[in-house]
Amino acid sequence: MTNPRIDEWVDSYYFDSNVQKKLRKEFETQKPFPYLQLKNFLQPEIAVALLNALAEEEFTEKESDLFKLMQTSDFVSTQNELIAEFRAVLASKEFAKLMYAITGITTKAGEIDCNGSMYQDSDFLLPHDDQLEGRKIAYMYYLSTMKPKDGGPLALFSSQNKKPVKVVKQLYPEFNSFTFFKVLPISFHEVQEVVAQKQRISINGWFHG
Amino acid sequence: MVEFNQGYFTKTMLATIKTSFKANKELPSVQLQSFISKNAYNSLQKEISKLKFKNEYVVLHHRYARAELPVKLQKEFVSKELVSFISSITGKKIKKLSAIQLQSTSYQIIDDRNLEKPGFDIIFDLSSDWDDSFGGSIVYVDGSGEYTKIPSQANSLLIVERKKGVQKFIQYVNHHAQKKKRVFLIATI
Repeated sequence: MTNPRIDEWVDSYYFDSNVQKKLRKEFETQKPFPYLQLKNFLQPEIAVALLNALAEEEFTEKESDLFKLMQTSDFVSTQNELIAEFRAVLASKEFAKLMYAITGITTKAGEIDCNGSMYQDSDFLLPHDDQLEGRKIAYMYYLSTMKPKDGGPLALFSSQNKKPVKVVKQLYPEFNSFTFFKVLPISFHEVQEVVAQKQRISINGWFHG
Repeated sequence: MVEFNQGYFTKTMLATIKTSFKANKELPSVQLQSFISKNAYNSLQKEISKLKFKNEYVVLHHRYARAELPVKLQKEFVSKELVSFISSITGKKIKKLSAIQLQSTSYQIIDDRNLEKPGFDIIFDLSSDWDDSFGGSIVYVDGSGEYTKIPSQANSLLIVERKKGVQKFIQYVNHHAQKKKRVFLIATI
């Protein structure tokens, strides 16, 4: 596969250097830890096509003490060209540059995890910190919109003495938004239970560095 | 006095229970149904409904409510008869019982930084009107990732030996539980 051009995927708004400066400031000053929610992230027709492509992927039910959800394998092995290309966009040098401009965090191009997740009625992911060697930024590209009555927000915890205390921020998924946060010893978060007959769909993973 | 099901307390039955308990080498366990008389169970439920549960939320470990049993009830339940019965199966003496109450959003996860040491779990289940699809089941997981889910069963006594590498968690209780609550008594040894 040839390297995809990320300007054909990501909305041009996010390539404006003034926008990037503003976003970086916002990212660095967010509480309880650095995060951003970038709306209308991809070209709208690509977002729709990705959602349709994802419907063809195989999701497997995953359940443990910490979570209950449906997940795909890493898209490194997907047969779907569009999804493979999206993964290549996220793994590209250009995308790593974009992420650096917005976050100030250096990640290694090509070193990402990327899979699909689907939370349905009563699915959840309980509090954890995402810390694993090499993970720099956790990301979620949302392909569905959830309202407070639907549940399923990404909830961020405040912390004290490196222990989570309480939820201080709830980020509701919005179709075609790209949400990410810095992986830190205090980046405690959860996906709160989906309480409606609705699917919370994302392509998500980590940028390593 | 809490009236125990005397059928379990005969020598023959006790021998059968011990054999059954040890049958599962990886997770020695037994769940004894109808452990106390129906009247005693109803009375116990009334007493439990009067308890003032205190919410506990340790984000990386559990969220549920707990209450200590009143001294009178504690003495009645943790009687010499029960202590001796459990000791004959586990070799351990129980000291007291606490009540745990689960409701929507309750959970207990395995905290890798604070794993449970091998030991015994003695749990008396008071979960009337509970559907396991709400979650709230007690699940044991061994080092190889093998799961054993214990179904909720009103008026049952569960005895489990957690060997090295075995941990337990309580499944997240989902919104389908609505206002329903699941209560069980758990022993301190």
